[in-house]
Amino acid sequence: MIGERIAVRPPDVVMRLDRMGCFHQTRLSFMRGLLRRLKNEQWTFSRPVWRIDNNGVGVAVYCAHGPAQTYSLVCFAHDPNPEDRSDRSIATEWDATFALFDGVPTEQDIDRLSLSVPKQEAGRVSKSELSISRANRSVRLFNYVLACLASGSQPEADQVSAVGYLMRTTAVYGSGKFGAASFDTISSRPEFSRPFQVEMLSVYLARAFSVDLVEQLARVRSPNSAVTLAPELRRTLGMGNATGLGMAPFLVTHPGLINNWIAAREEALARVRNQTRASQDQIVHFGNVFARTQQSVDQWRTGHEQQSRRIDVLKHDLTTLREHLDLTPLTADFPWDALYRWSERNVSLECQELLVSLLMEPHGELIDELADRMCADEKSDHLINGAMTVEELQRELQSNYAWALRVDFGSPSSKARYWYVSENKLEPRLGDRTQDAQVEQREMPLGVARDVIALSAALMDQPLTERLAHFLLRHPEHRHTVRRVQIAAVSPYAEIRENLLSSDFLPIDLLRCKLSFFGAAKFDPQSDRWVRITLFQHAPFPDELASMPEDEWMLPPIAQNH
Amino acid sequence: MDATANSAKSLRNYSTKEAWTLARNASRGAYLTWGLAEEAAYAVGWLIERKLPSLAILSSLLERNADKQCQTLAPTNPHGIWHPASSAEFLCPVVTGALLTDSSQLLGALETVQAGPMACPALFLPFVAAHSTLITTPLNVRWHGFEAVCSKASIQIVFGADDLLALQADMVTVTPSMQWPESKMASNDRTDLSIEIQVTLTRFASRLLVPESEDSREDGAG
Repeated sequence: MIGERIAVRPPDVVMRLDRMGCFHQTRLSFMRGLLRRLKNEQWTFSRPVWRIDNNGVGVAVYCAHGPAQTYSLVCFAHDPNPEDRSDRSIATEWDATFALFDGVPTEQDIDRLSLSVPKQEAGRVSKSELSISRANRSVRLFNYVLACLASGSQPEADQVSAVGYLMRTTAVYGSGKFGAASFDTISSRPEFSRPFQVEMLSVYLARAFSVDLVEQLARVRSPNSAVTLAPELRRTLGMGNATGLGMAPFLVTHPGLINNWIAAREEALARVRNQTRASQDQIVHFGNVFARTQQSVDQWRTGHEQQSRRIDVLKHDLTTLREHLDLTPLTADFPWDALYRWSERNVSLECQELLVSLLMEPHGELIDELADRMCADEKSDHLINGAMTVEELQRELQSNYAWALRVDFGSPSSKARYWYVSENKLEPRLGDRTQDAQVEQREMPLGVARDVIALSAALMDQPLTERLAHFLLRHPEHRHTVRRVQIAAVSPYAEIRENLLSSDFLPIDLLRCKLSFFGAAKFDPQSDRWVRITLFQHAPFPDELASMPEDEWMLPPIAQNH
Repeated sequence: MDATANSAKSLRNYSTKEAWTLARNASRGAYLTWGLAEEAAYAVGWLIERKLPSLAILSSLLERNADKQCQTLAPTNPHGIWHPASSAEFLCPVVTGALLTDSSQLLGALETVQAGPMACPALFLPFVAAHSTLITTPLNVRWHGFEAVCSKASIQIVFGADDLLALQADMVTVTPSMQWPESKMASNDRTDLSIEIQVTLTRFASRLLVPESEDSREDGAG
């Protein structure tokens, strides 16, 4: 141990869906990084437009003023038919639609946006818009909170935390979609140097809108007696999100980017594990977040049977972990590494990965800068090294794709599924290969294991010294796979080491992994292919960000009776 | 309504990201493999960034080559002059461009590359630029009526800007240049697309789409 650095966990351990599907948010998550920046750079916030009528319909504008630029969330509130309200991608009406504007919108901009933003994908925005999004009310909680506030009382905390949000986004589109500004045009701005900051800012401001809306409607209902939400209670409301298969392929189609996300996370874990001693402050901090995490897990609700079982196991494991900590204080050498190694032997994957998150919490100074490594220049990934020989490529396949080469595609279950894009909503779907026609023409290139095996077979017939440039000239069908293999040669965490065409494959594991990097909590699967989460729950609102402690918010304080 | 207004109404402004996605999907739907469709998208993105014609040329290329096997549009031999197997065919600029960048380390920095006849040669330019970067040498690229100097970041058209829209060239020649092109930051991120081009590209891209059914909606995503 002495003199030998504890290495990062290898891809064969990390890049398995059963583990990736247990990831939790960390200090490096995009949401946490955004709020640290907003606070440290002393961003200010204003609401220059509030034209919401007594029915809760109209427009509002929320501005976030940074050191160099202002960004404005233009919010349109609607009154859809209850029957038309849906989280599905086939929905055409929502309770609220949003656009994040680059600057401060004029009235002309607001008029222009009023014609397109409510249409979402059916409309077009301009390069002045950085994102478009929409949200629906969580109807029961929204109406409950409205009734309480109108009657002059605060809602019950248990009722609020059981759902955790007044509104739920069903899509947040950035990065050049539907005419919005491409990410390349803003990526040089410091505030967008990390992934998904546009989307996170949009959701953060939309959360403020959701509370303002319910308070407005309470005032309308009872002008003399309505009250606003108490700050502590308000903070327990995040912004919900419903995510489905549309997000799933992202982890496969951006190998360089995913590598950087996970490499940063693993480097953070390794740095913590390599700490020779734990300071008293760190031990206290860890104990505090552990206790708050246990409380939070106790409040984690889901109707999904498998997730419910996982939560039960997690609760049990956290108790086991607590008992272990009571017997084995963090005062020995390499205490964090010892704790991590203990978890590998004694608790579930869900608890191991939760512990990974907890281990990072007291070590902000050591790891927070790793968030700056999480973007990727994907354009540079596009070139193929055609001078590589067949023999060299075969070595890369053996080295990084042994997991794929072991898959038996002779078994029907191993290729039961295929990924395609739906005609109606241009969204990814998972289909049944045996049921659908013209699969080969329409299939998305997400069957990495199968494609690697096909490539490997084709290489067997080639001279070992043959250059890939010449091989690909004759076999262009393997080009996308060769590109992936070359990316993986320098990006160890680029590949999810699973067969994504298998009948056993659970898309929700992909969703959970990506959402953990966003900073999501309280994963609530609705099926094996879509999930509800909460973002920014317990975060300070814009009007209190300056006065709240930095980055202490992601878990609720310990309740007195816990 | 006058012609200008009519013309403006018939254009849609696309982000580079949208153009990239449309280019990739349309190319795959028409005839290219996924890996080559990604190359087509890269080429379109590079041209857009430099305010050069892009999707219109791609549309012409895809209409010309739809449903062909891309190997029939590839150079038969990576050595010597690059030409297609059949005298009735024209090289695909994307397939040929991919071969160029794949071969960068194998070609000498002083080596001349000749490829022809080639369809829609403007789509070959991004690959020449990438090749220039890989061999750290500026490159002169020309076909009858057109000449330019390329590097990864820049292109300086010496003459024949109108010929960028050429549907074919008998021979495209790439040689080392004595000087780097004038440096100009590639900063454009939008392109206007006519309805006609949108319809063509969308038609090809839609070959990849699967119609919804009640089963797929029940079984599908969010």
